[in-house]
Amino acid sequence: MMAAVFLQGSAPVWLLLHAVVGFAVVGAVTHLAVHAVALARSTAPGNRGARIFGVVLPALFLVAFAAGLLLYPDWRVQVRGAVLDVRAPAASALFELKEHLAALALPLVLGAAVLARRPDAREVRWMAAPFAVLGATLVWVVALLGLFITAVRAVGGLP
Amino acid sequence: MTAPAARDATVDRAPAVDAAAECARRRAVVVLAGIAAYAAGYLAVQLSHPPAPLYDPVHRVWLVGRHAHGMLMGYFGQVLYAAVAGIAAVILTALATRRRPPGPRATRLIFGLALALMVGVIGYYVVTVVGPLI
Repeated sequence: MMAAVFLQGSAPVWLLLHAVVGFAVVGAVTHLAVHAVALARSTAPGNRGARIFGVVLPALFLVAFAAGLLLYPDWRVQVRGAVLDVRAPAASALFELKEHLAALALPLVLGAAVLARRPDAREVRWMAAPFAVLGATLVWVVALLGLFITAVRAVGGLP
Repeated sequence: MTAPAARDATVDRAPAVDAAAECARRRAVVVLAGIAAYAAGYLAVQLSHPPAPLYDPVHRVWLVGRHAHGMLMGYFGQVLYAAVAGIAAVILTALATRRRPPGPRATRLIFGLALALMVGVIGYYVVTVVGPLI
């Protein structure tokens, strides 16, 4: 007898966690990007917002990313393999793009958070801004693609 | 005219500012090397297909292989390899810059390399995945 897919029964719960924390990541990374740009333009020694979101954002991102990884096997079999590859290959390709962009956002978000948290020298303090803005752009695209794909078909959906 | 005490304080502060700048440059270079190595590692796995962990979600088993056919999932292995490359770069750069911190020019060069690599890898995936849909 074939084993059930990993977390098959509880996939909708993990999807909710992934979505809720994912939206918190969107908010946090947007704030970090705004603070990192402000930091690059100012001569002040530090920025409270950059320090706060430099700590909060990596934690939120890692939780959302881990929830997505846990969901992935069930999604691969029940959604992509059974439905999207057959009936909506474009949505399947967009999911592939989403997973790559999320993986590439990981070092951007962590790196920007570290750089923005301790801006103690003028010659490197501006370096957080490009990575934070690029990371925020990726996270927004990933969130919108995730919403779109879930609207096409989500884990736990009826056959 | 500057008082002797104030003049001494100015002289003492200069090396401290240099040390803080060196420390900040070192931290930035370590982070940038990690970002660059992660991006390069992620794309290298995609292009060179090294033996990597693959997950079979149907049978719930892990395998090692070069190509993810059918339901096999290569994503976990690709992220793992990229993360290992990024962490290794962070450790090696931290060790290499411990005695000799990077200068401003080297720091800007590594910043440009990391940003260009990351934008290039993102562009690669956008073009190869979205291109066929258009």
